[in-house]
Amino acid sequence: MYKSIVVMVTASLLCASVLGQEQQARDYARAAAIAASKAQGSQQQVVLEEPARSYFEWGAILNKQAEVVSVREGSIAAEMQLKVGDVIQHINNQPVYPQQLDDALTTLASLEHNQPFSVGVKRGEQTHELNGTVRATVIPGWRLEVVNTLEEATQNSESTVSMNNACGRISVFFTPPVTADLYPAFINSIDGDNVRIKNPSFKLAANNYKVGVHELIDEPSLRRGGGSAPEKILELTIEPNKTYHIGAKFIREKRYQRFNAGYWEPVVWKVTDQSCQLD
Amino acid sequence: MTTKHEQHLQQQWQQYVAAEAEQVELEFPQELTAKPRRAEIQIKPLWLTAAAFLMAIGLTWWLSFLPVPDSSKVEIANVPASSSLEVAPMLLAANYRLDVLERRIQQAYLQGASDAELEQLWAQHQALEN
Repeated sequence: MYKSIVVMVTASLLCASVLGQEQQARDYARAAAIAASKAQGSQQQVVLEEPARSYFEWGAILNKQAEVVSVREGSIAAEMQLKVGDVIQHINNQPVYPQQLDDALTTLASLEHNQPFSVGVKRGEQTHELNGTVRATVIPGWRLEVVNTLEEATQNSESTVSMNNACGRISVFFTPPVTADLYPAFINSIDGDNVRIKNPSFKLAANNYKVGVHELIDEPSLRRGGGSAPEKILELTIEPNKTYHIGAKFIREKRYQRFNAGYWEPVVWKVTDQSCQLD
Repeated sequence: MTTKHEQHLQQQWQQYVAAEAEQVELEFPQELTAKPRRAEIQIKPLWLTAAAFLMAIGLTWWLSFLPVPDSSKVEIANVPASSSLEVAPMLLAANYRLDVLERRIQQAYLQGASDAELEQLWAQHQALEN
C-alpha cells in the first residue's frame, strides 16, 4: 500500500514537473521568436529549423595543460571518478599532449553512444586508469516559424447572414491585465470551424458565434491535468463596429480543479469601438 | 542599438497597434474587480491538499483489493533473451544550456582566452548551475 502511495505521489510530482517544463519551453519559444524577428525583421515570415542530432558531453573541462578544472555532478566524468586537479595522460591509450589538446578532445567528442572508453590520469604522484561508457544525448529536430505580418482574417460561416457588410471583431492581440487574474488566450475555432491560431484577430459579420478558446495561463500555482486540454466555448453576440478582446480568466480558488478545466473561463475582458466593414 | 531590421519591424508593429487601438475603452466587465481574498488564498490550498491526500489514501486502499498480476514475473517473461541492459537508450540532455556553456568554456581554454573572459564565463556557469 505504501508503495502505491509513493508511486502516486511521484506520478503527480512528475506531472507537475512536465507542465513546468512546457511553460519554460513556451517562455524560451517567445524569446526565440523575438530574437529571430530582430535578426531578420524585414522578412514577413522567418523560419528557422534544424534536424535532430546527438552529441557527447562528458562533463569535464580541461585547461591548456590538460588539467581538469571542473567536473560536473552526475556526468560521465564524475561517474568515472575524475577529479579536479587530475592531469589527463591518455585517452583510449592515445597519449595526450598539452600542445595537441584539441586533438584529444576531438577524439573524445567523436566517440559513439554506448562505446566504452578509458582515460589515464595523473593524480598527485599516482596514475589512475578510469573507465567509462559514452552516453550521448539528443537534441530533437525543431522548427521555429515567426509571423511578422498580421493579416486580419475574415471568418465566413455558412450560418452567418451579413447585413450591409456590418461587422465586428474578436481579438487576442492585447495582453489582458494579469493583476485581475486575466491571462492571454488564443482562438482555436469559430462556430466549430478551426481557424488559423496565428491570427490575433478576426472580422465577423454581426451575429451570434460560438468561439472556441484555449488558455495561455502562466501561473506557478496552477496545477493542470496532463494531455491537451479541450477548448472552451465562449458564446458571443458580435455587434457592428465593436472589437471584443478575449482572454482567459483564471479562477484562483479552483486552481486544483483539473476535471473539466474548472480553473479558467474564456471571457471578454474589454470591448472597444473600432470601425469595421466586410470586404 | 537598434538595427535597420529592428526599426523596420518596430514601424510595422506600431502601425498594426495603432490600427488595433483605435478608440480604446468602452466597458470592462465585472470580473475585473472581483479579486480573491487573501485569507482564502492561504487557507484553501491546505484544505485541498489534505483532501487530495485523503483521496489518494482511499483510492490506494480500494485498489489494494483488486487482483494485481505478479509484475516481476511478467517483466522477466517479456524480456527477449538477446536484449542487454548495457545498451542504454539515448536521452535528451539534462541541461542543454549548461552543455553549450561548458563547450564554450572548453573552447575558451583551448584558444587561450583572457582571465577576464574566463571569469565571465564561469560566472554564467555558476548562474546556470544554481
